[in-house]
Amino acid sequence: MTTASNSLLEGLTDEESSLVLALGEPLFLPAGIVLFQMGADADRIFLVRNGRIDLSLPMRIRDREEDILLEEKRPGEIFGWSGLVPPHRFTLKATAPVASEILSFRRASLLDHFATRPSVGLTVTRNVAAAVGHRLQVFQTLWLREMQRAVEHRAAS
Amino acid sequence: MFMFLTLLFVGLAVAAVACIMAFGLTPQEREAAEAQPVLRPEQKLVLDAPQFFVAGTTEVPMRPQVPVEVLLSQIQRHVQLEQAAAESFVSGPSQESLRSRTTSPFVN
Repeated sequence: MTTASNSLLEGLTDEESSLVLALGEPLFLPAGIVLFQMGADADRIFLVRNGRIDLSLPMRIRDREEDILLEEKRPGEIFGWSGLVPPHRFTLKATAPVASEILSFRRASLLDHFATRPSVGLTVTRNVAAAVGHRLQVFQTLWLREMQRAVEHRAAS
Repeated sequence: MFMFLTLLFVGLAVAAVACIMAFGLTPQEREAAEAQPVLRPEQKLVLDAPQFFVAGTTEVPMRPQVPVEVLLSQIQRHVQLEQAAAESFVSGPSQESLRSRTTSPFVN
């Protein structure tokens, strides 16, 4: 699992961080609850405070739908960046495997806050971009390796 | 005596002509006889017992179906290995880390 730090607040002063955190709505998730499904509309971004969030890819195996775990998000890490990035649809499924506490930030609230504090908006957006960029690079590499195997298989037959 | 021998030869000649007329074949008849198929005793075919819906089909060996849990475990392991390889490439891009072979049993 990826362990890249994707803190939403990295680079902000303590005061700036406090103001952003004050926008978050705490959510307490019981173990096993699904927070969002892949493809669902995304109007918020999340920060893990306690516990753990599993991000998985639903896959059809025979006649069953199974979740393939891709990333584990731990305290301090953000997830659900699709809430700030068009087309605002979650790209994975999020589940709390254990009782967890998260902060939920509405897109509208964040954008209003950033409108009055552009430097904060820039820093947070850069942090989100880092998370998106990391995902893109990892998945592009996965795809490249898969294609390389397919090419070798085709060339050998 | 001479009379007897004369009658004997004439009788034999008549008998020979009669035989030729009775049983002899013309060349045409002989060719026709040769052209006719020779009838042989019928050969008896020995057939296997009928196997409807089975005969002519290729027998496909039955492969035991891998349980979903085992398959899921293999996929999960494969994703972990591939993701680790991808993370390694992202942190330090190189042709070797991009093309390193996987040990995942899912694709081997």
